Amino acid sequence: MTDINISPLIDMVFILLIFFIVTTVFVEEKGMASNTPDPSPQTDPPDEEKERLTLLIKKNGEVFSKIGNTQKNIGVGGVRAVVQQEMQREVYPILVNVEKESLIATYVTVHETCLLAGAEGITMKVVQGN
Amino acid sequence: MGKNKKALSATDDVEDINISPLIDMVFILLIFFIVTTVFVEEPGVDIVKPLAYNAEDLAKNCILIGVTDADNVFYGGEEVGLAGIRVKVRRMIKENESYPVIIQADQGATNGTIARLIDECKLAEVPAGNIHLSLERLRN
Repeated sequence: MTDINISPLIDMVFILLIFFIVTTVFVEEKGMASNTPDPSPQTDPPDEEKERLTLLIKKNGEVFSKIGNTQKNIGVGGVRAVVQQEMQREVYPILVNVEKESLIATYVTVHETCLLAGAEGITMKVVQGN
Repeated sequence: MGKNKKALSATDDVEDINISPLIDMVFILLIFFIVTTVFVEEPGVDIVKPLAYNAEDLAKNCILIGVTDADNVFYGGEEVGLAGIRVKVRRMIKENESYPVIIQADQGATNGTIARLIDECKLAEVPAGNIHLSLERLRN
């Protein structure tokens, strides 16, 4: 009476182990949802949305706020106060217009500041610079 | 002297080292690696991600797309460009509809490229809520 020879089993288990060790990648991504308007025919926003706040990120990193027809250079630091003031009146999604050449880092900061200030949804839209 | 000789012959009688704990451990390791393995192709480029305080945890099974500071688009270790990404993403989405797309953009990537990349993903039939931007989480 002898034991079953288990060394082939162990060999196989080692090979499997090495395969899985080698192929494992630990993906641990953190991030945020990114939102752009659907590529559908452009329609003019309804009247009540025309008076709403939109932001504009210029290619040199300047941030402008726009309500109705008044446009102001507020910079990244001024975003929170402006958005918070608007959100106290009414909570609505904010449209962030970005110039093509502006950097993603600026947009991420603005996006996060808007969330902190209580905005519901933030949409990024590319506009032509002048 | 005689006592010593007896001890030596006693060790000779021991047949094998007991390897069952070793095998147990190997099985545990094997199961660990099988469970944690996800087959994700990494973009394979150096990327300095934008910093943020409120970054949520994203899914582990995903499609990773890298965008460098020179606006080059990478997938699976090769540069595919904006034009080639739709085919790659569509192929992955066909296999599994619920795969989210994670864009690893460098701090210096431009918004124009990112927006076009997101549009390409939408055209590849990725649901709008499944497109994410990868960030580096800051502790406050």
